[in-house]
Amino acid sequence: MSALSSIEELGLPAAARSAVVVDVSSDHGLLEAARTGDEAAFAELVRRYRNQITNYVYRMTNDYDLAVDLAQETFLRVYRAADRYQTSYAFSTYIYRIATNLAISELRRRKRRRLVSLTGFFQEREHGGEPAELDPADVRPLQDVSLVADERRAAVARAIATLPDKYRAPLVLRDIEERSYDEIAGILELSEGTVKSRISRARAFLRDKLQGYL
Amino acid sequence: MSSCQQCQTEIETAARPDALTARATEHLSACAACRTLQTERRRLRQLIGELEPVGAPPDFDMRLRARIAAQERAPAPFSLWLFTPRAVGLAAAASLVLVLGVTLGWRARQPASTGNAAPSLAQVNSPVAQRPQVEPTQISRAGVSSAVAENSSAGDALPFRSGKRAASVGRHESARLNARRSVRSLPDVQDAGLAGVSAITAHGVEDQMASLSPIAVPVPASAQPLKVLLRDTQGAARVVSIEPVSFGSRDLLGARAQTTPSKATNEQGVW
Repeated sequence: MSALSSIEELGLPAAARSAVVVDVSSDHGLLEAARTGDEAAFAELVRRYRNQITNYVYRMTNDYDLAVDLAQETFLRVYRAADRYQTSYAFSTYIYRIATNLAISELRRRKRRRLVSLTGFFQEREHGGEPAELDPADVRPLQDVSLVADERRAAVARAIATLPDKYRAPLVLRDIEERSYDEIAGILELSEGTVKSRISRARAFLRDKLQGYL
Repeated sequence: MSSCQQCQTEIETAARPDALTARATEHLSACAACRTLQTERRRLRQLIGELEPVGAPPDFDMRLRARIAAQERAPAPFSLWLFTPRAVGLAAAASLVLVLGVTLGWRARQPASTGNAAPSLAQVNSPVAQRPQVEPTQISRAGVSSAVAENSSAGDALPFRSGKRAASVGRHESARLNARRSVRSLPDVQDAGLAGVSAITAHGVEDQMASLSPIAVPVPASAQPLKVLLRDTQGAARVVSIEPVSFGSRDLLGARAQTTPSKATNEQGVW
């Protein structure tokens, strides 16, 4: 079996040969082109992922402005670190990992700054339970149909947003972003078994929080 | 039990809760708990599925470009470059230059160190003090070996002060020394003793005087007399007191002398 000396020996048509050399349609190809200064390639990457990343961060934070800001920061980091990007894993895994880390960091920062009402503090002490939330969800469904649907969606979003970080990210990636377990494991840098376990726990938490809607 | 666990795992991990294997489906028909779990999971997915996806705002790209441009214009952030050996060397060199500059600047601003006072070696009761006017002939006979001008700072280092000859200075003189420590009285020994040196030279001791190195003493204005120690080859020493000369201002000197208490009389130490 003789080794190929050039790509022409494959006998591929010209279009296929150019696709083999630089597949600009793939994420890797676009990032490679962006690395060499092709702004249009980077713009195409942004166009492909801006809605996904914004939606994902929004479900993680339940704050649209923050989600847009963090999504932009995600792309900014991709742009800055284009030279260090390694093609050993999918670009989607790479960008979701950046977005996840940014979102969790921001959530933890906000958690430290979060005010706790004195009422919630004393309720916690008196009943020995968890502290009351500043904006507790009203579990009673509204009568109007459209309002009921809106309220239900808002309740689900709040319930997801109140999940612990380690359960929220895999749940959103699986049930909202519909990523595979393998990819979620790559994004969160966890084993696939841990991801499955956490998703199961997250659903159990949600079931308890959304008891009135099930 | 094992069957329930397998069925629940299948329900949890299936792409859709209804897309189960035949074995799990068979188990569901006989297990109410697993059926309940399947129902809850199906309903939960429906609830989550009702969440409308949100998209990026229309100006997302424009804002992103603006942020990228702003960051490229911004100065480089703190980086590990600061800890490279080259950067550390530059920082050390800059610090050294700064320290040297500050030190030299500080020393340049300091006044010349002249000591606190010119201790007078003339003693009221000493024979030397009783004969303030040194005759050139006397010096010539004794054979002058050195002439030392002493001030407070230099005097401490002189052998005369540290040697046995210092013991000859009486207690009264010590009190005078202490009283004058705050007074600067250091006329230039070369100028003040010019007449004496000329007289010595005139009496044939040029060779001996040539070996003497001149002693430069700062000359601050003072009404205190200069004390000059003359030592001969036999070890005998004489101290002469040279009154500072301020041309045409003797009255002024007298007035200043009154401000600085001194036990020296007009007859003492005046050459």
